[in-house]
Amino acid sequence: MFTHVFKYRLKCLLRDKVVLFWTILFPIVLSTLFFTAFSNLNNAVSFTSAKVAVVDNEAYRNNKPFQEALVSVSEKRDEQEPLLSVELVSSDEAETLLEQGKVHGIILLDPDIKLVVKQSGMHQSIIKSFLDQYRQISASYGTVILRNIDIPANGDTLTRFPADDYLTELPLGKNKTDNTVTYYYALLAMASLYGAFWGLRVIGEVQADQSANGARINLAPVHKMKTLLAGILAAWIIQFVELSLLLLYMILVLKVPFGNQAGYILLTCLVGALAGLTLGTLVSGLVKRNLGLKIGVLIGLSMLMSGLAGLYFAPFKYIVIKAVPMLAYINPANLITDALYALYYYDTYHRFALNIALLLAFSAVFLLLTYLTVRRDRYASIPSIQEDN
Amino acid sequence: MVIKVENLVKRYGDLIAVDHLSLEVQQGEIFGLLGPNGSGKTTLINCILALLKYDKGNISIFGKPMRPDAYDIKRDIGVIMQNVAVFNELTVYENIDYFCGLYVKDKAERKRLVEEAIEFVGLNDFRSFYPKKLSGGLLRRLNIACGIAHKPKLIILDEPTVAVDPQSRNNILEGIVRLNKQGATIVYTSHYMEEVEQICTRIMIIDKGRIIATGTKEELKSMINIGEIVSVGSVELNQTQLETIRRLPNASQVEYENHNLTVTFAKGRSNLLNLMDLLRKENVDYGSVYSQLPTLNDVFLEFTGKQLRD
Repeated sequence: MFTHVFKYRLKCLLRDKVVLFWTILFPIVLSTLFFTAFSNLNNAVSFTSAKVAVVDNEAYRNNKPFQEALVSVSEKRDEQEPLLSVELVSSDEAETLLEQGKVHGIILLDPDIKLVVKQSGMHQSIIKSFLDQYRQISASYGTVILRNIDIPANGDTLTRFPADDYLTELPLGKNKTDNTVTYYYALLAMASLYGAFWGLRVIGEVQADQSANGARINLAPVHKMKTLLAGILAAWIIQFVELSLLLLYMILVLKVPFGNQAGYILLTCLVGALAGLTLGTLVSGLVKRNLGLKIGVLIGLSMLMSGLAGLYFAPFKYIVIKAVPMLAYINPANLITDALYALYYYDTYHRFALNIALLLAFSAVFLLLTYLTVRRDRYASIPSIQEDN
Repeated sequence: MVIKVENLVKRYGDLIAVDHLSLEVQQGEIFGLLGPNGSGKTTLINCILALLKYDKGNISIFGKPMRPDAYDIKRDIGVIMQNVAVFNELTVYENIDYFCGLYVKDKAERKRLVEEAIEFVGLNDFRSFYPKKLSGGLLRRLNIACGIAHKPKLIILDEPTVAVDPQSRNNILEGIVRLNKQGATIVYTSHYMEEVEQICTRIMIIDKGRIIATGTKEELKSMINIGEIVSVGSVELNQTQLETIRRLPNASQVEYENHNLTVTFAKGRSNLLNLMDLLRKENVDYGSVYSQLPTLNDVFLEFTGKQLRD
């Protein structure tokens, strides 16, 4: 009997195009939009070298260390744009280039190093920073040599000019920090919560006061809970497969980093799917009759929870954690994003396990409350139900 | 005895939907439950089926108390609800198979029953159709097939012909009679008195949750004092002639409107002949004349003072 009901529940749900759209197609479309938006954003803030004209005069030709320092910051490294793009020109040509806006500044050795700019801006600041740094380092080496400190003071000393920062950014965990992943994780959490629409349908179809089919099923010689469990299991499997497909799309097509722990990531999807589904069964059990109201409540809840988990504005997730930590712990969407986060960034599984345990606990509570709302055998009233249920 | 309801009371707040109602349905009969919309028919059925809580009374089916977990009783009941209860994502065949499968575990047996049900309601050409592709009449037939495929001993049909075209309605009514002939006891609720008159062997008329009258259609009609209603069309009458008609033997009510005359006669002999003789004597021409025996609507009208169609 269970297999019979399960088989037909699976068929019905898989042919429900409306819910399929919201639970799989919509998140895929939204993730693609995110991808497009983030790509444009990255392009918009991509770094370009500061163009500088260096006056090729006597002082410059005699200053080998400076020439080598210039070379070191104008070479392309690891596919990254160099700090400066240098043109060696005469004094007149340099002025013309600056006038025409073809360079951001002119470096003139006279014999002191001078910078000439026409306006202020990021590129001008970069050139200035480079020169300040050069002056500071050359002054330091000068002091060392003057005080006769025992270091090799050959010509190479200043050639190793630190093109990179003195402070190197290192990730706390195993992977490189990527701020955009919060959005994708929150989107996956939203898709998980959209499983609530399956839950809504599953409950509607076993409650005699919610649908004509529910009335017919209540008249059959089958325990209502058996029918309900078959429906929940079918919906859970479908939702899990949908989340897995979304995950594959994000990883393979959009190249969103999720780390390398496929098993744990899929476990997050499985538990997330259950949390979303049971949220739907609870809302459907509590809110009687009005389908529009139920859908409204579910959309509102999933949007709110996903929003607090960083779907619309990634830093919001951290603001919530800092300001109202309890809210972060009772928000299933945040628990899903946090579990994915923990897998991606942390070397240990404590935080991941906590998130999964909380999600399971919420699912159990939602299921228990659902059971309490739908367990009754007889109804107080059965309203006239629309045929197109 | 198939169904026994004793002193049933169902309240919705201050409204009494079923008011101390008792009924018995015998094996093999087609029991009609007739009443206007909102009279309590569906509430009564839902109470009998243990879907609704009720305030007072006892209900037993096949001699056993009816409860939501009385699965042995439910196995022998088929219900066709007022609203079509099918899954839009399943084909005609799949819908019938799904609902039949809730009653019959054996696959081979179920397959045979589903085929028989499809044949019975005449949906053979539509077995792979989805419900949205079916017309209203065909959809109602599918609804019936889902309710009867498991060959129940008791079939309850709650307004199964609402919004159905006349041809499909006749098919449905013929099908119900055939099911009864095959051995099923039928409970049929409707607010269409013609349907109830056509197929039911015993009828209960209810209004405001109370029993108005119970009996065969002949018994019900004999309870009222109307013998026949004669209608004469395209007739020109003056006040004197109308007064003469009013004085005819057994004439209880005379209405004349838009050149149409309607005379209601109490039971008696030669009522129609008496009226025709009078019109002939008065040299009154007329376009048409017909006599109608009392209907269940007249029964309802006499007991409640209002039309069944209201």
